[in-house]
Amino acid sequence: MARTLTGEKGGRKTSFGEMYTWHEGMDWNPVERVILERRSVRKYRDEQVPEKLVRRVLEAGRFAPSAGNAQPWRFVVVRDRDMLDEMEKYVRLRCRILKFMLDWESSPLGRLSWLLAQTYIRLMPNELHPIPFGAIRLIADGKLKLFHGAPTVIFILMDKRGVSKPQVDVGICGQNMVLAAHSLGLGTCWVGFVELLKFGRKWKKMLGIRWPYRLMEAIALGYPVGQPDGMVARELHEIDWWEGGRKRTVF
Amino acid sequence: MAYLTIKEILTIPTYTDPQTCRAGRVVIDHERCNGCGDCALICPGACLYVAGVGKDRKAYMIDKAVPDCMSCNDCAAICRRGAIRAEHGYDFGGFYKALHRAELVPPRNF
Repeated sequence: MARTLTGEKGGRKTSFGEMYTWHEGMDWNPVERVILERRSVRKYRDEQVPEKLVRRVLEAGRFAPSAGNAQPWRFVVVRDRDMLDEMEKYVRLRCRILKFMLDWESSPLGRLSWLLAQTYIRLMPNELHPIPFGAIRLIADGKLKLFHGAPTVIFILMDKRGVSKPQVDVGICGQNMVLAAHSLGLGTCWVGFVELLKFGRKWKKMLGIRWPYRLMEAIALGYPVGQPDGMVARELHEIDWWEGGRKRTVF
Repeated sequence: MAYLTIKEILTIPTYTDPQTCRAGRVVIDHERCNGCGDCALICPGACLYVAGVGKDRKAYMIDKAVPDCMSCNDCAAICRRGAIRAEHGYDFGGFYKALHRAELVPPRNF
């Protein structure tokens, strides 16, 4: 019964804990390993991913759980280098416009840009959170790439008519594909900035972005350069734990 | 732990002000770093660079009041010599104050 699973990663043999059972302090099983070692990959080899492998990754997405089994997603796969480069150029142009309008440190609009930023941050607190705000600057300056040279990109469109919270379903579906891809030796990176493509008529037509669909996310897919996957430290989160009529806090 | 006060909810932090905003930060062990540049290549915040020649070639974090580091630790994962790691998470304060967080810890196999 106690079968030991082994695998090879980066030329190194590793062993895993057993699947479908638990005992305290056991080794990570393969599923946990993939989850914990998955890192966003931001440098890809030029080599194209085999078509069948991409199809296999998409299968993992198709079997994601969704509210009311609504499956509110649509995939668009782009494997055309010129098209991806052009998209990247378009998003960079959009970021430059945003930077011109909102970046109070560099904008020639001066104080007006500060007022615009303060207004828009309040209107769009998620899109203009300090982290994406910084990313807009980096993309505009050409310091951050959009697809990081990935040869294949899966665009995920959301059917707005989905049951309950289709955004969540789309996220689950994407994570299914990401984890499957990493377990198959690929690297992935979520690219949310592709949403800016909706401002381009050409992209709307090519990606089929029209009601009831909304372009939500893209997943860059390819063979990573080096060994970007690995376990790292992350913040502990405070967890409230109710049991036996009392609350305690665990981390 | 406390949630946000009314004043904090209404305050949009100035993103470039180190007084209110704490960006992520990495520490680099220059004894171990060999300046290969993998971390600088993949850093999503363009926060790292390599400088120096020969044996003195090392990675450094850019000198910016509030760098774009989000302590994702991708640099730590790709580093073959275990020379780099994120020190703390980011917290922009005000409306974006980080809630219910503690220090960075690797996965624990309970």
